[in-house]
Amino acid sequence: MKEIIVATFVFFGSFFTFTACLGMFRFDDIFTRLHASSNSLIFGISTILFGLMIHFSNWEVSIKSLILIVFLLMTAPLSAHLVGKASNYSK
Amino acid sequence: MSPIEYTFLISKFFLFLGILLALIRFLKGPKPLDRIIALDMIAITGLGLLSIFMIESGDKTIIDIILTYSILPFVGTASLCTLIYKKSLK
Repeated sequence: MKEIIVATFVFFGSFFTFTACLGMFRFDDIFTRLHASSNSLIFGISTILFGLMIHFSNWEVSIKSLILIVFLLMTAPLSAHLVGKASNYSK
Repeated sequence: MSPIEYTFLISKFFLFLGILLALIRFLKGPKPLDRIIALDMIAITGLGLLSIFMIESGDKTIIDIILTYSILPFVGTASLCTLIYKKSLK
């Protein structure tokens, strides 16, 4: 049962990551590309990491991957803000 | 081959295809900022691929590699964007 839950989490996470990369490939402006890169990519990676947390059921791995999710959720808006600011000021 | 391994194989194929699409965007992006975003996306997608490899192999020490590898794209993106921003102000 645990394996089925882990496989579902990993499959949906990788599908969302693929959707983000497809948006990166198809969109035609830098701000729309930034939208694809900032939002759905972090959601997909966080879903894969939740599956990893369920699979190992260990304190060390769980705390480290929770730190990783919080770090990704903190740094993705920061880098998106920096890219948007640099793209807005440079011609 | 059990259905669980088959699902993991399809997931790895999705992530590989995503890295390939971001690599095409990195090669033909018109501005330098597009290439920076594409490089960030390649690194974070590779992090997901490494995480799936950790689930398949059952090795607990790979989480340290993932934790260290997640810092690098943020530092690269922040420094390059600050460089472009400060160069555009002059």
